[in-house]
Amino acid sequence: MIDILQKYQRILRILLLVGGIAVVLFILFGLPITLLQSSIRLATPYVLGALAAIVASRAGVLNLAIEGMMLLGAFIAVAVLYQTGFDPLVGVLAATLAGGLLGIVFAVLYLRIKINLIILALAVNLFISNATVYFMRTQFGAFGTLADPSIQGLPRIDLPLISQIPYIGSLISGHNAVVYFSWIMVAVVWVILFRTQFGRHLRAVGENKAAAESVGINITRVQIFALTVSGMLAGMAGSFLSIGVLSQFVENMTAGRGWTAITVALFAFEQPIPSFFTALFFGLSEAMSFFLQSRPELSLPPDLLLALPQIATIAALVIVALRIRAGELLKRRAFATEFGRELAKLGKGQLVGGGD
Amino acid sequence: MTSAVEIQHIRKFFSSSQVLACDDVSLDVKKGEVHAIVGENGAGKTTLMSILYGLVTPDEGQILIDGKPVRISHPNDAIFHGIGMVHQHFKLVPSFTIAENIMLGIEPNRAGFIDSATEAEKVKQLAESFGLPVDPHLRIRDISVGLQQRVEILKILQRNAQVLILDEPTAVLTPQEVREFLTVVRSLAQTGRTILFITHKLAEVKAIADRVTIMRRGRNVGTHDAKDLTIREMANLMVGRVVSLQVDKSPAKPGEVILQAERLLVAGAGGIPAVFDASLELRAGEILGIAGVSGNGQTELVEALVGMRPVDEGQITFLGEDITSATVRERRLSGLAHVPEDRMTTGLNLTTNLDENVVVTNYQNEPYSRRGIFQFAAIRRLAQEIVDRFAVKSARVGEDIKTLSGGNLQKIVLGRELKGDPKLIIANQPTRGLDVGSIEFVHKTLVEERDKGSAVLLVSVELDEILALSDRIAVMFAGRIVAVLDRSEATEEKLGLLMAGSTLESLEHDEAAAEKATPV
Ligand SMILES: Nc1ncnc2c1ncn2[C@@H]1O[C@H](COP(=O)(O)OP(=O)(O)O)[C@@H](O)[C@H]1O
Ligand SMILES: [Mg+2]
Repeated sequence: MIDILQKYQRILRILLLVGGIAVVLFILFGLPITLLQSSIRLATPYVLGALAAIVASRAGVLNLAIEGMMLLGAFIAVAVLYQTGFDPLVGVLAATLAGGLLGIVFAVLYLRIKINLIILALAVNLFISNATVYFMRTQFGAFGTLADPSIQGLPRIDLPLISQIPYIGSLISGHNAVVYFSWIMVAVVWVILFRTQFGRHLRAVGENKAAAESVGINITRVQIFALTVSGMLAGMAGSFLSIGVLSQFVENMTAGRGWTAITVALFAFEQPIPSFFTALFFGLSEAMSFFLQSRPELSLPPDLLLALPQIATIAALVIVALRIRAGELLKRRAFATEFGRELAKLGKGQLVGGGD
Repeated sequence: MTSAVEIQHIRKFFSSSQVLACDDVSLDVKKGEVHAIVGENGAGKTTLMSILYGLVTPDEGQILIDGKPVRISHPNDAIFHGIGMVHQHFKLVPSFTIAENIMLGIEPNRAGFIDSATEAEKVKQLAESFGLPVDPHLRIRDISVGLQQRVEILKILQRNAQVLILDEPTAVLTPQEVREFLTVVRSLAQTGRTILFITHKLAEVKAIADRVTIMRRGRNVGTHDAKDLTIREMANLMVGRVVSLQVDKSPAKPGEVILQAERLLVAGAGGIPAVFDASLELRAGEILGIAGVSGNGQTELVEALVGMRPVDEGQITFLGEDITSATVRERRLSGLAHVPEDRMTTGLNLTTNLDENVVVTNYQNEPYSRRGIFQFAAIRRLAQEIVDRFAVKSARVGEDIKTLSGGNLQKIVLGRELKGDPKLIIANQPTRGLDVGSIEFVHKTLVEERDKGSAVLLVSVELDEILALSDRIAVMFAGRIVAVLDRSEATEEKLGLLMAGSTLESLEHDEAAAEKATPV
């Protein structure tokens, strides 16, 4: 299997590239434009969530609490806007800050009090999931869904000039502020990670703590900062879910998107720009699921359609796992070849090795 | 000459491992000298240097730099005082380039944005000024170990280090790289820098050190001018004279070949071979000891033999069958027993009881299970039998074992492994951390098994143990079996030299020379 892969590596690469281009062309020109518009929009929580995963994981902390941080953001945005009549951007800001605050708490519990990372993440996710339901009932008297005319959704923004471009304009223009902000953040995170001193320190901490420590980089500080930013990005992703689409909060409305965002980051090798495109793909699978459900004449099984994003997630995880496994096998093979050759060079038949 | 560094009465006790790693160590390092520190594994060399570099806090003692007392509680303090350290295990970021690693933490930047052109230029200039050329754009994961070490040295030179601590720098290098490296060290000393050079290889000490300090069990047992000591004298000081444990044993009666390993290649961490070109042969009724400083491939060799680690090249034959890719269970069923290096994690499961621990290697077979159902009566009988036969004090059938002493735990392992008369017993550090009584018991048991006709492979870093038990002795160094000696030819001194990287040929050469020199 590995042999075949190695032998035809070039051809496989080209085939993959051609196939990829064909799929992209089909998506762009073969699918209805409304479907593409909603794909781009629905990709937003994945874009921001994946960035949150990247920032934490590049600093050496697996942030498995993104789901909870997102849910907190979704709830805070709605809670702040409820009956205050503030501008929806205030809701986004509040959600971002709340996510950041949770990120700091998470970082302190993990790094200072040294609670096990997995247990801590599980606790945070469960706690936020239950706390949001609790406050929804006690503070707002709402069951299941918190909706009110006082909660304004984020307005659409028509980009000047760009909206004039045929086809492309209608894809790119007309989204809300968080969508555009998520795009900007892709670039910002990339620049920070790969062009700034802080980003380099962050990556050094994530890749080899001992190396960073030995040149005097304060690991704890870097990781606390990374988790805070991670929380802010996740919080903002949450605000998009609640006030970017329908302006309401629904119990557990993140519905696993935080976990999917982690998958997106893994699939994209924890690189911001590939993550953006992977996120678009997940946005498409989600939009596709809605789109096909709205067309009963196709008579597709509805349960299967609902599961479309989940199927995409599992497929992505399988690919990630296979890729890691293949990498290990290739490494072992390279080792055996390299040193096997050296061994053969030494000649045969001696019981006592050559020494040095 | 003035002192660059004075270390005074340093003491460090690690409570986690209950080891007194440094016991009132004092050391005076002159400016501009190459000062070697030698000692067996675990002598406390790395700990002492980590204290000087601010990675470990001492319990007592003080450090003087250029005659003034200083507090070094963090590597930043050490760097501030002009001390740099190249660690035994490199501290480099694999995906970063050479320039990025050298400048990590001191990147040239504008408002936080890195100026990578200046960075590469600086590194290039630095490298050239020290005659250590590097391509700043290569990534660490793509370059050789020798080059990685050069990067580490440049990293501390960039930080203006005047005192360079090099912890076993040559352990990872090829002989050619070593020669090149020694030239670099000498030229650095000529620039007025002070070098603290830790090594196991005494020939290197003779080659480049001005003075040498010998450490043994956490103590400084003497600092000498390197030219005043022979390699043999250093080896004797390093090992120290210790009372050896006597084991009563008759001469071995080796029978047929039980185990044969041919030219094994086994991968270690980081894609370098842990075992390279290792061959050995073991016969029924003999004990083959494998001596070596720990970390020279013994663990990986044992794991490959018992089936816990894949073999990349070579062949293992056991009782005439090729078992190179057999599973652990297949090997065990055909008569291989393994007393692992770490009885707390690999040898036993301390979270469960005695019964499960003794039956774990054989639970699927009759009489311990029938048609997939455990036969608890039989399992309890087995546990009782082992407790009785090996006199495992305070162990009781069906009860937890986590409170038992090391000696009793090892008896349980031995009891389990020796049950069913294995053809081959592989024992890795079987007496580590045991009291004298338990050590005697383990030794006696292994000799008994040999006399019953088993083949025994004993891996130990304790030379006394190897000398007391073995019929033949193989010495491992840098992943190879560099010599196989008959017990009668082996002396502690000779083994010590082989373990430190000398070859048999060079030893014979030395001996011949010595004989010529001594008037009859
Ligand atoms: N961080 C630590 N915690 C507990 N024990 C340690 C630690 N570091 C070293 N030791 C113990 O201290 C002793 C000396 O170790 P070390 O300084 O590494 O020796 P050397 O470098 O001479 O081989 C060893 O017994 C080792 O197990
Ligand atoms: Mg050491």
